Amino acid sequence: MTPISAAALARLPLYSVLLLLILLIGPPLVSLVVSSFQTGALTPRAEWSMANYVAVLEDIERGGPVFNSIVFALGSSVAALLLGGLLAFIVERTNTPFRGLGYFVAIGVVAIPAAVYAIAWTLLLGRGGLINLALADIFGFFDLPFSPIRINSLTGMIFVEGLAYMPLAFLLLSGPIRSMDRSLEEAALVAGARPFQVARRISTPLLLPSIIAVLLLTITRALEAYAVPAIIGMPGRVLVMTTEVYFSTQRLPPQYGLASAYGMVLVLLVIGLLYLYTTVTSQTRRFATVTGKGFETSIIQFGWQRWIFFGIIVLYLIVMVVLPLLILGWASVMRFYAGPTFTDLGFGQYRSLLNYPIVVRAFTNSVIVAALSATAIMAISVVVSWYSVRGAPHLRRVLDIVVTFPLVFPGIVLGLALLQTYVQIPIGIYGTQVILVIAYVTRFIPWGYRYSHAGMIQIHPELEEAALLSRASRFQVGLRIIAPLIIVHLIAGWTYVFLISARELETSVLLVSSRSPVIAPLLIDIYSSGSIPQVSAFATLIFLTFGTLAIVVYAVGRRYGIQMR
Amino acid sequence: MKGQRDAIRVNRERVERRMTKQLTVASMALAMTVAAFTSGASAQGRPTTFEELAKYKGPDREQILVEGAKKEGKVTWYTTFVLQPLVEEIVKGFNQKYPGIKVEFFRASTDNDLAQRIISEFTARRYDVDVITPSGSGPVIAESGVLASWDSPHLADYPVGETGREPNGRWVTITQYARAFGYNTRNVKPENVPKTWDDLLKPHWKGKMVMSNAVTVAGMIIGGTLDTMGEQRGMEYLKALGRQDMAIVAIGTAATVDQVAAGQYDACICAVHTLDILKAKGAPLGYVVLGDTYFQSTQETMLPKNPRNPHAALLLTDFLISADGAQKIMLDNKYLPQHPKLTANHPALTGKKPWVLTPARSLAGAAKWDRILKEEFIR
Repeated sequence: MTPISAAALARLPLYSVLLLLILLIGPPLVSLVVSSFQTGALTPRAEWSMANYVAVLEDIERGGPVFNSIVFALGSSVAALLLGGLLAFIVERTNTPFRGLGYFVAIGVVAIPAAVYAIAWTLLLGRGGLINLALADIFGFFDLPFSPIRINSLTGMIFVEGLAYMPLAFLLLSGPIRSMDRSLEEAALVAGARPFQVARRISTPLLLPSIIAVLLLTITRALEAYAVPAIIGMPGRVLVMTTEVYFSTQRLPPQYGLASAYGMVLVLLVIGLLYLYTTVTSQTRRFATVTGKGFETSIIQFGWQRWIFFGIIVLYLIVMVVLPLLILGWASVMRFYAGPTFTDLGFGQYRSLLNYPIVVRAFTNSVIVAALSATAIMAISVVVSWYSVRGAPHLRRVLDIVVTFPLVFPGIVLGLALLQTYVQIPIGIYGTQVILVIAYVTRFIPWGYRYSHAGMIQIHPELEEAALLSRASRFQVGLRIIAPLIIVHLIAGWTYVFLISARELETSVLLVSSRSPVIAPLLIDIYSSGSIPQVSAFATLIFLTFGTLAIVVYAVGRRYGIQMR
Repeated sequence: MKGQRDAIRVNRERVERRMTKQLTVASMALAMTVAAFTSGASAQGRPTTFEELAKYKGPDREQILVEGAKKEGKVTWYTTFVLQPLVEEIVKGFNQKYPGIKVEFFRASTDNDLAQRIISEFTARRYDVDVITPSGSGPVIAESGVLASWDSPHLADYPVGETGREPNGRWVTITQYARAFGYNTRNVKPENVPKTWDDLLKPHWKGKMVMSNAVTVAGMIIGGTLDTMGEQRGMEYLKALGRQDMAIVAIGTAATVDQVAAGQYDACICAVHTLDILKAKGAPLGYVVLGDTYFQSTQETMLPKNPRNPHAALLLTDFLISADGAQKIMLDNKYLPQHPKLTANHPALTGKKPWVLTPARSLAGAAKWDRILKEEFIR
């Protein structure tokens, strides 16, 4: 018969996927570590040295970037979690009128780069910002040397980053909130508890493992944020680790070794957080929510309070969509922007932007690269998660470590590591779309895996066992039991990865070239070189196109998902 | 007979292979044949490689370049010039003169950004860029060995020197920018407008000024101050200026002017022409040149060793340096072109001495200025 045993053949997909993951992760990790111990890294004069770490340690001693990074990450992830969690609760569990609007808001802005919000909120809350001027007018601050609200501060950064990451927290939490077992809540209601008491005493503790898991993930995300620190923090002298990494590459000549050393410190911080994360999630594993048992989502019936919830949804709409779009749109049709002054109306900026070949290319590139990355990620994830859930415990541990390993690379550090790798391995992919797909697949595979894994653990083995007992083949089980149950999760994961890839900035900012532009880095380029009307026009275009794109992708996925159930 | 034919064929193939290898593009052969027939034998040898083409000064140069460039169809230009109006106007002028050659430009916000990209692209052997027009970072880029030596009949007008043609023929200065103190006329009362650098140390200015972190702004101010005031007094001044909580931002000088017009800051240290451009549109801006010396940076144009579109690269380069090309466009747009026949003087600068950030000064000082910027201004 064949020399390869059936068992080995069954593991072939596993081994090829593992090899691929190691090829994705290994080289950048090595190049990052190597260059952090070099001065003149990437030049012919590279020499071994500890100088970079000495410089970084001196910086740490002075406080500054490391402290700011931690406060910023904690603050903005808590803000995002509260904002996203509240919206998820209102949308999923209450009888609030027009609560679908909440979905619309969160989904609509999930693909908008944080830089768009940073630019819009600077125009609203900066020193010459409209809200600041209005406040100054109302309260007579006009002659004071300071403005009522100072956005270029840690608080300002946390506010904007919290808003920008609210939709992600919403998406990550709405699943757990929707699929909570209602029997416990019903028991409390029967015992005479009021709805708010139920939410506080029963629902929140039930959700706690999910909340902590989401919180730790959003902290790692906020640690790697670059746009808000660069646009809002830097003018106020609030430097964080990511801006240090980036600006080390922007010295003359570029200091890649120093950037890598800062990057290594960020990696260590993230590893610490991930250790906490795995400790917490090993607890949530036990909470399989979809079992062979029937379950039903319940809506808590609120009285007059539902109108307060409705008001909150409208507030989200104003803060997330209406205000940013209004100010960007207004600034984009001005001849020059001078606050509340009317300086001509015209759509010249849009015409000239669309005449730049790089702008149109960036839009198409972003969509193509994001779609390719999302497809590759979900294909790899589904293979890994099946082996992880059904495999032996030791295999599960190995797989979980490998597939979530990229999380240790904050986005900008991954970009730096890939740059150094593929600049030195001249196979011609640096500066192309290929390196962007590699970057996104590496960066977002843990997120895709999260979706497929969540789907896979919810399928209780008893379903497969029942089918097997009824003499179904393994193949039939896969096709008729697992596939229909998991496809919804795969589509959800694909949608999510597609949208966060489309808005990606931190990794791509160091990898794009004039031939492979993508949206968010180009926005930063235009922000730092163009006029306010020009960058506002570009930000408005991004807002409108990516908002529409997100809603269309989500609507299609949702329809498909519903049919599959 | 057959063997002989084969030998000839093999030999011809070998020659052809060598030719395609030598010629950067095959089309060049055709262009040159046509050129040789139409203009008779040229005085110099026919250019066969990019190196030769880049130094070819025969009367049929433009014709060879135009024909080759039309076949290439486009040219990729990396620059730190402002998009509006300068890049747009130059592209428009170039396309009017040479229709059918698409100019794809990439605008880096600062020289630091431009140098980083070019060096990493070349280390990765990625040759996308055809023409490079940075501001002072020439020597840093040249250190990576990516620049070609070139020549052009138009260069005859430019003197060799620190702000002219580089002695090795790798770049030539095409324009210079002076820095001034720009302010928002709505937020700054006339009596508060400073006259000297020392006026910036007054409490009034604390927390109200902005400056780009680029080597051509922050770096130049630091280097120029140390040079003109002397190391010791200069350093004392810089420490005092650093305590004024000036916002140091990672955006180009043009963008800082926009922020001042928008009222985000009261004042900036920024380029005179960017202030002129926005002032002309009616923005509430004014500016003064502080003290007796003004700081000025240079903008050079250069070519990589292996441009993807060699003819178009040289054609655009010729356009950038010619008196009736981009040099005239710069003059019309309130820039100070470098072409000796087009010298323009800015009224705000007359009677003052320039301190020029030459590429050589930039190479020697950038790392030190960066450190001072970080320690005294950003902390």
